[in-house]
Amino acid sequence: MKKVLAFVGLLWLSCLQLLAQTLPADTVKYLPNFTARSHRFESFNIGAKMVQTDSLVKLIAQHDNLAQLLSYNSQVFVRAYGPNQIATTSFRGAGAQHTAVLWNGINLQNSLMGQTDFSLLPVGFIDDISVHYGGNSALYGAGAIGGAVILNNTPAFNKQSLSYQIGAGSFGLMQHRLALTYGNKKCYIKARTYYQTAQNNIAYHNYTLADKLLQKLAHAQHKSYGLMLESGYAINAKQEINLRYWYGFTDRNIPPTIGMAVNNAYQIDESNRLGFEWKRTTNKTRYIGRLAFVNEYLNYNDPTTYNSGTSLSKTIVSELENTIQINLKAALNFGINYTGNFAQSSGYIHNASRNNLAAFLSINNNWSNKVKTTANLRQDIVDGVIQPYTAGIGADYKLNQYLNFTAKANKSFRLPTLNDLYWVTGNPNLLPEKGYAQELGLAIKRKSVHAFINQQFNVFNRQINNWILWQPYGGAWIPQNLLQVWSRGIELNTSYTYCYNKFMLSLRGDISYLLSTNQKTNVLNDVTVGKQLIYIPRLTYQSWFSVSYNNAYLSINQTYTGYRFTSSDNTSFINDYLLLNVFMGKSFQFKKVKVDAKIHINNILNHEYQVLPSRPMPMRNFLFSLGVTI
Amino acid sequence: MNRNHLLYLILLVAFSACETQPVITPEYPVILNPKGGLFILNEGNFQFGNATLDYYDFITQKLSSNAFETTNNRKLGDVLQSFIHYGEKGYLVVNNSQKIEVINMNTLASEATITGFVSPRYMVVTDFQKAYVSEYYNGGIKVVDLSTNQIINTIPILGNCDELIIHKGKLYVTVSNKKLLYVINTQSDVVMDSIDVAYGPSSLRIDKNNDLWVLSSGRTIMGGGFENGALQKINMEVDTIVNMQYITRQSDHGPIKLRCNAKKDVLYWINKSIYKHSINENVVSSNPWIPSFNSNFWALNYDSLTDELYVGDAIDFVQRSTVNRYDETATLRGTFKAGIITGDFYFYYK
Repeated sequence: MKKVLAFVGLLWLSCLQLLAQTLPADTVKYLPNFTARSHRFESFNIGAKMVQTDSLVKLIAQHDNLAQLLSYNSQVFVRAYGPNQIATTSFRGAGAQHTAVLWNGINLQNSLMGQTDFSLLPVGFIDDISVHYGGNSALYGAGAIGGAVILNNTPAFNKQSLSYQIGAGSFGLMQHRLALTYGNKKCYIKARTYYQTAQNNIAYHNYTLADKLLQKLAHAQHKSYGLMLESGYAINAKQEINLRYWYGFTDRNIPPTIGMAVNNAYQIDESNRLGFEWKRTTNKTRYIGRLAFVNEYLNYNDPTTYNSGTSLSKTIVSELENTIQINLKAALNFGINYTGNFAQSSGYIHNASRNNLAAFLSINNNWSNKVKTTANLRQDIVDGVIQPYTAGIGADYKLNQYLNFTAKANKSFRLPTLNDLYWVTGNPNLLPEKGYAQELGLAIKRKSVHAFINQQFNVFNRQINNWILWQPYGGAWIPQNLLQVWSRGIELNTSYTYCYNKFMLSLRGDISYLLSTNQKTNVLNDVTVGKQLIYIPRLTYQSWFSVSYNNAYLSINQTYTGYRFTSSDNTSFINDYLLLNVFMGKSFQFKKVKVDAKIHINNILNHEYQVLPSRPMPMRNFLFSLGVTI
Repeated sequence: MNRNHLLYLILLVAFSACETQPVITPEYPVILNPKGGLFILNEGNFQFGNATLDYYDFITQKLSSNAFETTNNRKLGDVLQSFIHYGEKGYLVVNNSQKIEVINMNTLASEATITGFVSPRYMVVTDFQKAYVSEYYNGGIKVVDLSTNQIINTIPILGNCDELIIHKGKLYVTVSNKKLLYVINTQSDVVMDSIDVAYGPSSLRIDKNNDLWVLSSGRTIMGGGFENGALQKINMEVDTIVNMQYITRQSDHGPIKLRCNAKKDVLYWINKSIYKHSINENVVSSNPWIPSFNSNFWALNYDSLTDELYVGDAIDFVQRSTVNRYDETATLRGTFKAGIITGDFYFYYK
């Protein structure tokens, strides 16, 4: 490991040589301020740390799911239960339920579980992926205490293409992807589909056997397919409508954990998501209307333990918002949102529903060329009951062309999930969770003709009260408002990009160190106060080294995850791990046909690791892909 | 700026190399007392593979935690359900690893692994050629030859078979998702009778008068309400209930883990709190003997050597359990820490 670190260190040092010659153009895509095209999650979020996935990483991740992408390209900790198994997220030490997932403005958090399985979301279906660190319920809606993942599809007016890609990889991975885009200046159609199968028969050492034999993971097969259909119509210069339909199907076997002999359980997830969007933009105002139907079906079945269950979550979202540019300095955004959740579950006695009506308001103000602020306010009414209001404020102060300071504070909340309330052993008297967060940021930017340096330093502090925890209570799991969780930490991000003609070099390093501790107990003998929550690493580290030249690229990615405690008294833990991934690809142009080839080598150091206890993850593995685009 | 950047980058790289993991070593090495000791069974979390066996020496009052892994240099498995010894051998029933680990009682060294189970729970032994293992999930009763460590027969029973006990050629089997206690002839290994009991029988004890006591847990009914469990006294001569006392459920698991004292005339169980019942009384007291408050009592057993009751508190089920020792007047005599989700205590004396 030391050798690898020394190698990476050397790379960093060599980049400094380049820096000495001071340099250039703005190559890193910046998130815009208020513009007619952008959405409120970006434009009315001054002071927030928002990271857009860059185009090279998006190209690399085309074959992956969002869980994989976030695990090697964000400071979000992804809790993966195994290859192609459930994967949830933890933002800055928060829980899986504290991540809002907004697909073209529609929250996809499952109303039964409050969390999103990111392994079910293919990167290839999404055009823009941004990660917004730090919660803000007043902007994203209830649930967003930890942070938000923003997924957007972009219209394809005046674009035409047809592409097919085939991917094959280790552990029986086969993937076919087909995409068609046809657009003129009035309307467009985009259709994307994929089909994937994998054996996932990864190797692991069974440490419960005398000789710790290397075994193949059994019963981990996976099959998934999906369809993303989009169409849009420009009614006139001011108005545009978009219709999007997303279908996803995944059937996966659930492998035994290390120590289990067999597992016969399987899980089927099927989702239908339909989103309609209307936009009317003039010089000074923009209306956006959204209407969506989201339908998610889950079937878990274990024939051995006859432990099975199905659930169906239906959600209707309708939202109308208006953004007004009041004057050169101030902009206003306000709107209303109705979200109806209707759920059936074999774990419920009756069907459950929830009607959430919300009004929201945001104001941006540019006090001077140097100072910008934003304020967000939101009020939710759930089934006629007025909920705690949520609010957020943010500020951005530009000291000079190099230094930028940001500050942000918010009060957020999360409703108990429908499972929390209506499961057989659920608790209808649960209170909403409340989060209070503050953060400060400092950005240092330097640019010259050919190079761009960006350093960012963030500190955050957050308290979540009434944290809902399911605890086994005599054979039954019961949710309670048990914990008070205090999270705080620092994040460092640095990047350097050098461009010269067709050559590009980029280096990136992200470090995060955080503590997320429980501060409260009402139980005798409990020694968890002041202890780190389980499964939350204190230290994570990521670096990227990429070069590209003339349609060819090479990327080396390093991801380090510190040890995670597995017991709430912090007496046991699972080991840290360092993953090194190498991605390379080249595209060739033959007249109108573009052919691209890719080779990915993941975990090239062949480290055996687990993200969660007793659930093995893949050692060294390969992916080859070939694509044709017309 | 450049120098700062350099420092910054060095810091960035150095950081990841820095984090050192804690080294967790057992407090005390595994030294078995030749006169015997206490085996503490820690279930561990379902699917975490963190079941452990602790060994507690009464004389030195020292706990050797995770004694199986320390001795055998490998993890025990997933959910340690029960333990018994027969002769010089100990049998660790590791439920979700679908196996029984056979260890040497003098060294804890692994001798064999019996596999082929669905979901093994408890084991009783008639002789070295024959042991019975109860299984959850319609696995029935497996008959195991301990001389070869092979499963030789299955007695089919639908349901979740739980604790079992042998008395005079009869094997009594509780089925925790039924209202039945099965009686099996140990000569023919055939179910010969079943006794109607309250819903969810899961544990059994035989008292000094050779009466069988069966504790039923009851259940929570989906849609509201619950069905109470009961303590039943069975005359094993005629296999009929002679006394049945319903017990109001105080927690979701209801009354569980029936245990008795050395004289076999006092019964104890967990029903959130700890309850006590003399076999000569006809009515079960509704007052707890050791109240629970916010504890999650999950393990219970009686030490016949010191006449102390050991109670395990699993707390939040994801941290090390607390073990409390009480004397006959319910006075706390001592406390120590065991592994995650202590499920039972096994006192072994030579």
